[in-house]
Amino acid sequence: MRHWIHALDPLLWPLFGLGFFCAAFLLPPLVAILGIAHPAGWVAESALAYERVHDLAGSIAGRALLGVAVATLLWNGAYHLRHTAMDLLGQQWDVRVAPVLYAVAAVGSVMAVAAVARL
Amino acid sequence: MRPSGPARTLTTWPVRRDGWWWHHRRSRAYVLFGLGSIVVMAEAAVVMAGLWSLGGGPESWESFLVWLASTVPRVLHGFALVVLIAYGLRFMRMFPKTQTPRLLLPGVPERLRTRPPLHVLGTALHLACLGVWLLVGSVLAGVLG
Repeated sequence: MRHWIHALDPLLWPLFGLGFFCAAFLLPPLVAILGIAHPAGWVAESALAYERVHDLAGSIAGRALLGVAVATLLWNGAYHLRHTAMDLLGQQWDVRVAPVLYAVAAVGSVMAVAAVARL
Repeated sequence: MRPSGPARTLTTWPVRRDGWWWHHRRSRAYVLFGLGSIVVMAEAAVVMAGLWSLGGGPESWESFLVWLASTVPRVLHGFALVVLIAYGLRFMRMFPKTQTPRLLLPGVPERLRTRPPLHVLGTALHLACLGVWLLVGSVLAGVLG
């Protein structure tokens, strides 16, 4: 198992880096508008109307951006959390923590692709 | 005149790093940055839930928006926004330093093979991030598009 975890590392490193960009560039405005401004009524109701959001997210660019963003965010989180777990719990926990986190990221990535495909 | 002995190797003063991570400022910042990835994964799950509800039709999307407007998600999103901003700022502070100072690419002018000064790269990254925040925020808020 340890061999496979290390063998995957070069593949996961770019996803980790891209996920950082998505987390820094895309998530704050998404959370600010969807999670805070819209519920508080600071944004017009029509801004998040179904037709408008569906048109934005359902375009080819929207699907590609959202699919890649969700998947890379999950891989970024899994990779980063795995290393934090190793720092806090010890290297010996890696064989238990890494498969769980990577499975979550892999399943989440498939679900993200499926979610944008059905838009 | 010969030196009396070999020069001392310059080292940092030994600092004990044992004990709980919370007790050391740098360890605390490092671990909290790592734990911020839990928020990143949670928000990715929220975005994915939004995409699934969007694909489920207007009623499903409306119920997602109603759920976002309830108290607990609003409080959690307020907390998440603070964590995500801190997470992003730390990443952008680190990113320029992780770039290789010089690329060995034959045929490419030296100017393009050398990393720009760290402060230039850092400033450009922060400005690009601010631009994307404004663009994405404006589109989502209905100001653009």
